[in-house]
Amino acid sequence: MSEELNIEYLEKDKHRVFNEEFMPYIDAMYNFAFRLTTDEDDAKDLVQDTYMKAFRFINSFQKGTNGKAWLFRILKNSFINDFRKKSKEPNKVDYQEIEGFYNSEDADVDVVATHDLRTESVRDLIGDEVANALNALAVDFRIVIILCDIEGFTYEEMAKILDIPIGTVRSRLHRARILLKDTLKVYAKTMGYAQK
Amino acid sequence: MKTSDKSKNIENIVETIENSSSNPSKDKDYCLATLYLILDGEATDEQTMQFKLHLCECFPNFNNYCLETAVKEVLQKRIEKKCVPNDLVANIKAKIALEI
Repeated sequence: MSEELNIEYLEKDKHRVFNEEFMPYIDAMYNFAFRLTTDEDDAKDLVQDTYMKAFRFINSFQKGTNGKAWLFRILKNSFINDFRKKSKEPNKVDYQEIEGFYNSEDADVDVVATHDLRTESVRDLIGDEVANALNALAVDFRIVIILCDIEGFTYEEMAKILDIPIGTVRSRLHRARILLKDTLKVYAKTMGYAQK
Repeated sequence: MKTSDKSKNIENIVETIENSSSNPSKDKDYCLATLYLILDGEATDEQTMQFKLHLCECFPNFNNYCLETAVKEVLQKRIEKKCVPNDLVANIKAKIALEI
């Protein structure tokens, strides 16, 4: 990513780059932080912490490159390294187990399990139900769905933000979507949409 | 077409596709993987064209396409977008000023 290059900005340029390249993404950053922490105060702290880090390490940001992806990477790392550690029960995902499972023949079971989720049932869901289903996912799966489906990052950008190969992005996203559909199916049944 | 003829036709299509490969489960995985590439704007023109041709004759795949599109749409449109708290930008700028 662009942070490998070091540029010595003048003090006035630091502020200009900060305001022009980073501040326009404050809405997206706050929403990303809120979807990770599910708490408004924690989201504020996380965004503030991210912007402070972005300013301190601004010399490793090359002007004109992907500022949004750079900020998302900092925020994601801050969340994983600092915020999640504070949690009493960190929501850990064993990637080896899950990605091993995904690559095995048993993975097909998931496809069968989601067959009875109907398109009409999904369209009947309201925002809170969709948000709850998303929040119910383990944080590492939630992140790939947010980055791809809500923020519209490309696989390449996601690979850089998450620091994983593109193939792993795709397999994690695939698995996350199957899990999300399973959760949406439960919501649809609970709300009675599935019987329509 | 009568309903019974239609469902018979769909059954034939499903059967044809299931018999089209020695490993239908791999075909299904391939279709889903291609579908995700298309939905995420990552597929090549050739992949998109081939998939769309396949979509016309594959009912399970068409169902999957509709479902995955609907899920992506509700994620994009239904989840509330929070407004940034008024004091957040001011706090960040004040802290940055102290960094100098």
